[in-house]
Amino acid sequence: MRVSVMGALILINYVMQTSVLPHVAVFGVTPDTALVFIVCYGVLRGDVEGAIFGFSAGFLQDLFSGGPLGMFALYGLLIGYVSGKPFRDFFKDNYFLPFFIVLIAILFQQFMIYISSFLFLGHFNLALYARTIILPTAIYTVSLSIPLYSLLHFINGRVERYESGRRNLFEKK
Amino acid sequence: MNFIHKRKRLFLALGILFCFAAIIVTITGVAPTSFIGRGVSYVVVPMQRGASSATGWVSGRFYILARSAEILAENQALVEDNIRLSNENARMFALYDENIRLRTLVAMRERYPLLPLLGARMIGQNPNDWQSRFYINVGENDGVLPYMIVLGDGGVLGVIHETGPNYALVVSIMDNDFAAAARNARTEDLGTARGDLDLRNDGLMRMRHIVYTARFMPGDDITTSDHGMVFPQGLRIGTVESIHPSPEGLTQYAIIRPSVSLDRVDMVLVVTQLFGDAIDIEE
Repeated sequence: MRVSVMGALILINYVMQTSVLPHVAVFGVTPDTALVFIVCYGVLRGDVEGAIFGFSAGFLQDLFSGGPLGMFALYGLLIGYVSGKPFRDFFKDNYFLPFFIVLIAILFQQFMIYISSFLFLGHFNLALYARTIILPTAIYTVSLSIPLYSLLHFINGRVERYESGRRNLFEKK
Repeated sequence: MNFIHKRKRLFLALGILFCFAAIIVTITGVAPTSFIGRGVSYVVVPMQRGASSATGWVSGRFYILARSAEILAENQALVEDNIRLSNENARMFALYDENIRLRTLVAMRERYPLLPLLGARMIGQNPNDWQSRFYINVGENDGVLPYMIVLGDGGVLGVIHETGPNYALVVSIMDNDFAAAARNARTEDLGTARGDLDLRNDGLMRMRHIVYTARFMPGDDITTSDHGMVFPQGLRIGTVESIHPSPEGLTQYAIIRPSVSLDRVDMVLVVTQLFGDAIDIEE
């Protein structure tokens, strides 16, 4: 059940990111909702499931990006894993934790894209890219973190309720 | 799952190793990886088409609502009549827009009568803001192959980068990876037209490797050259905005304003023919 729901969420999010969100681009940038879901899933379900979710979402993006296969999967894997680290120590209704992790994660991911794909090609104008791509993308993405966390919190709650009393594939014992 | 939890560091390391291996395999091309994307595209592309249509429908409804509100405010007494008129008006605008787009495509077909052209519609954009790439709804089943040229309203819009059975990924002229052999139509000097990350937000691109003796002028037409063996001669790329000496002092570069606007790409034409020996060798 959980695998199906999360698989569908990854797929629907990708379709929305490529088809719908470009219509609501602000200053030419679109929010990275996949990253928000990866962070939120890590926060809600822990490092292992966060890493699996991040890897899957990133891999789907890699398949159609035209770039090297595995780059976004690697970012997703690392971000999902790190986001799930405070899993045991934080109250799940604390909506500001995912907010801050999303902020750090989106800045990390954007800088990594810059370093891996552009820095070594001689694009040194980091101030321009920060102003036109990195910061607008980060602000737009972070602004969606709380509503998307609420949505995922709700879905996760329903799935957990459904799974209670059944064999839970992801439950730690 | 408990098995993974107990050995999570091992699995994390394996995941990272897998990603690095996939990156290296993709970059070096030692093994085919595109078959995975081709399989997944049978699920993703129909969903993208549906989502694009739904978004267009919602945008259309918003447009109608905005028009209706405006007319209601101006003519309280003729509310019902105005709503009917505004709905009709919106439909007419949609038909008019479609008519303009189709006329543009017909005009482009007439401008390049020798080129075999295939009409296509944009179905999605690459979510990575560092790139300028988009998907169209034709693919290998329609005879579309990598390196085929995509034309927009007025000139070159991009080049097919990847194809699946029912979709194709287009690298637009504004993408940092786009490069085309180009020539000044007036002086016949050659260079390389490239997308440039630094200029993209201003809607501009760069033409590099222009010989120092070339006399470019603002307003000169830049067209494709067949020297790169990807483009035929004479497809319009844009016009010269300014010309500057290169930092090393040996050549010049020009800032180009593309003749195609990427802001509102909807219908495009794919040139279903490959040009040059280099392509044949790769096939």
